[in-house]
Amino acid sequence: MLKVENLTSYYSNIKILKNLSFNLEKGKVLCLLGRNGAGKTTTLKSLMGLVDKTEGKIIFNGEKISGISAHLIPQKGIGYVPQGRRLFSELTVEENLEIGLLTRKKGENIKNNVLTMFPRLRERLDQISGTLSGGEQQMLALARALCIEPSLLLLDEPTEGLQPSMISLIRKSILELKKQGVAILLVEQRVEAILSIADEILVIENGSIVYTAEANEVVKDHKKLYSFLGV
Amino acid sequence: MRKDLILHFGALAILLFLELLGVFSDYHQGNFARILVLAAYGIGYNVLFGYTGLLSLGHALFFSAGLYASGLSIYHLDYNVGQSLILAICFSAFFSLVIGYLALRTVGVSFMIVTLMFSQVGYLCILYFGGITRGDEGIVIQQSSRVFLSLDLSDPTIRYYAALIIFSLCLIFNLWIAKSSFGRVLIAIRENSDRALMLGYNVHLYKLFAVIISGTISGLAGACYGILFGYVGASFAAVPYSIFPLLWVLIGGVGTVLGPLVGAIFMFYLIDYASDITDAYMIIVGITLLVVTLYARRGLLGELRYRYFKWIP
Repeated sequence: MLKVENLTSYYSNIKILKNLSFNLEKGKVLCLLGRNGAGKTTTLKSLMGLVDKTEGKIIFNGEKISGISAHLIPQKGIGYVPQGRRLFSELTVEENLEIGLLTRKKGENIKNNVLTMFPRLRERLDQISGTLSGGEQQMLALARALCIEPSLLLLDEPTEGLQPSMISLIRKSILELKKQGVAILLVEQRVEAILSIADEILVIENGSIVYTAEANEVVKDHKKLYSFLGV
Repeated sequence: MRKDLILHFGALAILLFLELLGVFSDYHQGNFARILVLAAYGIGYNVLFGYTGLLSLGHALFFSAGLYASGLSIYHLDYNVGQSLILAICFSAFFSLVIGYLALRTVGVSFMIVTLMFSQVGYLCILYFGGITRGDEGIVIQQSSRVFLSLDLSDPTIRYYAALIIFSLCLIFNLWIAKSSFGRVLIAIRENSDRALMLGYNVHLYKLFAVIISGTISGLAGACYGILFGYVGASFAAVPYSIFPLLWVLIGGVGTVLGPLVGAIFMFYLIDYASDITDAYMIIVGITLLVVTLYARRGLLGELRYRYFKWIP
């Protein structure tokens, strides 16, 4: 589904990502781990066309998407939930969802599906989104990304700053999406939060992949992974 | 009937009945005709600033583009009112496209500065090409040229109705934008343009459309101003005429359809009454504006919407 070959990204002339290569299959969860400033968020931004200077190839569903305009990438079926949620905070929950749905034909069906997944949002459709709790805002950010019916979802630290009950809700949603065949590229700092949902793990350090492993291997033996993360 | 429609069409009906019932004195009739045309200009400005979040400091350029397109075509080419209006609309739209294409290469403060600079270039061009524009002196459009469908637009009553029609058209168009998918995308861009991009919207193109719509409405208002009041002058291209719509929108309510009208009435009569009291009326105006912005940060209508009436578009 997603094939990244030698992805290199720059901010000005500083090389942030160095020859990243990885694949992600339908219905799988690939987790990017790494310390602060390792290049995890830049990887997601590069995939979404938000980094001005990139090299290498990004192929999604057999089509090269590297180099195309950023607004066309979501139209190919890639959803992105950035760190910090970034809602349209002055708009209501419903308006936030509708803006996500405007580009879709069967908007009402999609909205119903999304609200079935997040029933709490259904109760708050008229509420201004900026007044939601952190967990609800994260749900809304995720729900809005789902409005474009993505087959690949990029999530940047979706559990950051959330209470345990919300973390488990978000995790449940990710598992549900995985079951529906959505491929997920997940950036996380908290190893324990992802081991039960990830299929594969990549560790990035200074813009390069330094460790890859199947999640079940890591479950059996944490030591190597933790040594890369400095835990 | 929906509440938002009742509010807006009710406001238009009030403006119509005030005239029909002869409530206005000659003085206030003239004032309100002027306010309505200027409020139409404010609506144009609000599309860009209030709905899309792009703060322009050079909208006098678009206002004067329409003003001069119609005024010069009547003065030099003997166009009639209808022809000059069509020319003004087309010219303003094309002009907005060009200026928007160039100015939207920048964002934030740079966008404000670039629009201000374009506006200054326009103002200086009007002065420089004084042979055509009559520079500082301006052009007086004769009464005989201000006739449309056999109606004398210099007649105060007809002028009021003409101003009300122009304002109503702009208001209805703005209401439609506010309720349309297009308007919601503009609001999304205002709130968070990166997120709008990530939902698959071509943010740059939407912003360009917003500039074109905003510039065209402003140009239409400029053309109507010249035709209805019979004067085309360089002062309308100067900095104050870029700041006025910003003030009307800020005072009336950013991103509200009726905000520019509320702001224009408030500002017009504030200056009018304050200047009756003292020559230093700008002190009173300044203090009042400070109080309004301190206690109604979202503008008068914006604050009402925020506190009580969430449905106001």
